[in-house]
Amino acid sequence: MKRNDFLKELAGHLSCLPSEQIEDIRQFYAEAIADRMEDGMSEDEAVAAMGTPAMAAEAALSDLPAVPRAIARTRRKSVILLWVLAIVGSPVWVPLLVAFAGIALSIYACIWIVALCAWIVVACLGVVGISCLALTVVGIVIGNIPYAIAMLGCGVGFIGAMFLAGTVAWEITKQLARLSALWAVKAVSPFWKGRKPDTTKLAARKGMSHLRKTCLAVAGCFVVAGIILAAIGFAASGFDPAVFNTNISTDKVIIGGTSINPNDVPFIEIIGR
Amino acid sequence: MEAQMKRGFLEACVLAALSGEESYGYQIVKDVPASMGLTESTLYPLLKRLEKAGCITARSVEHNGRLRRYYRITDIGHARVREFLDEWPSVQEIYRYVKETQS
Repeated sequence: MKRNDFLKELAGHLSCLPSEQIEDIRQFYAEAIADRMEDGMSEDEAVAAMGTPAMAAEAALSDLPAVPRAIARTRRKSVILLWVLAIVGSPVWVPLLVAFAGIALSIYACIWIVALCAWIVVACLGVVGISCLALTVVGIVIGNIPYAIAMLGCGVGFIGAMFLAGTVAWEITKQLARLSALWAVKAVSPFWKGRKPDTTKLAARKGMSHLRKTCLAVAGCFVVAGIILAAIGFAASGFDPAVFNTNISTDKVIIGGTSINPNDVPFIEIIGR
Repeated sequence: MEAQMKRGFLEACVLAALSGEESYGYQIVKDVPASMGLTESTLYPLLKRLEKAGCITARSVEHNGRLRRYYRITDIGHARVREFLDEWPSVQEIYRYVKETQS
């Protein structure tokens, strides 16, 4: 077999690949044959050393992911066979493909629902914290100072907890983003082979940033201050657990254990709603 | 030789062949020990894989009026070779174990 025949047949077997890839493989074998001839082999000997074009094509395709490789192999045998298989087999492979996409998507969704839950916890802590601060104002207005201090403590504490939870949620989200990226790579691997995620780069960013450390420290101080304030409020009320009792409904309003007239105080209407 | 094991050995051999000066396809095939049975058809996907992994870089150089692709090992490639060599004690241990059970 002559060099050009070999290269032509090789390119024919690789027709399923993008043209620049075919050209790359063609050039590789052209160079190998030329180098052997330069080394003193005859053209026929040099071409024979490459094996058959079909074997060379098979080897070049061996690095492809499973699905394109199977398509390429069938196509190499016969283009008609590929079409017949694609059409006759469609009741099998279409539902399979849909199921595969469905599973891949649901796993993706599961990953993100975990992140969503973490952020919902953060939001709840924030809402409770802000409500407590509003109740502090109510306590001041109605003159129940122990209650106001206790509520201020709860508010500050919950907001500190919100920041702590926020940092954790952010960390979870980041890890999940990495996980979902890994999952995406895995899910498409039978069809497409991308670069593996660079683990060294991810590891380098593991250290906590200065900003986050400061944020955590401030949040921690908030929680501690909140607990101390709540304890002061509790002590000021004569260690009466009712100081933490807030009950707001449409027909009655209990603030710090005492029933009051809802029309006397601001915010109550809003919180009650 | 088992396929997976051979793949690892071939990878190490090709990286070793590039450890000195940069080299090209046919030269690599000649340099790698004959017992590995390296041919162009196994070399091509191997080079592509190593290039994708950043273990080697490639450039085209004119040679006798045609282009020849030269490959050069990178730091990542050197690290890969060291990893391969560091496996030797555990490989020895496995061989010792298998041998002992046969006597």
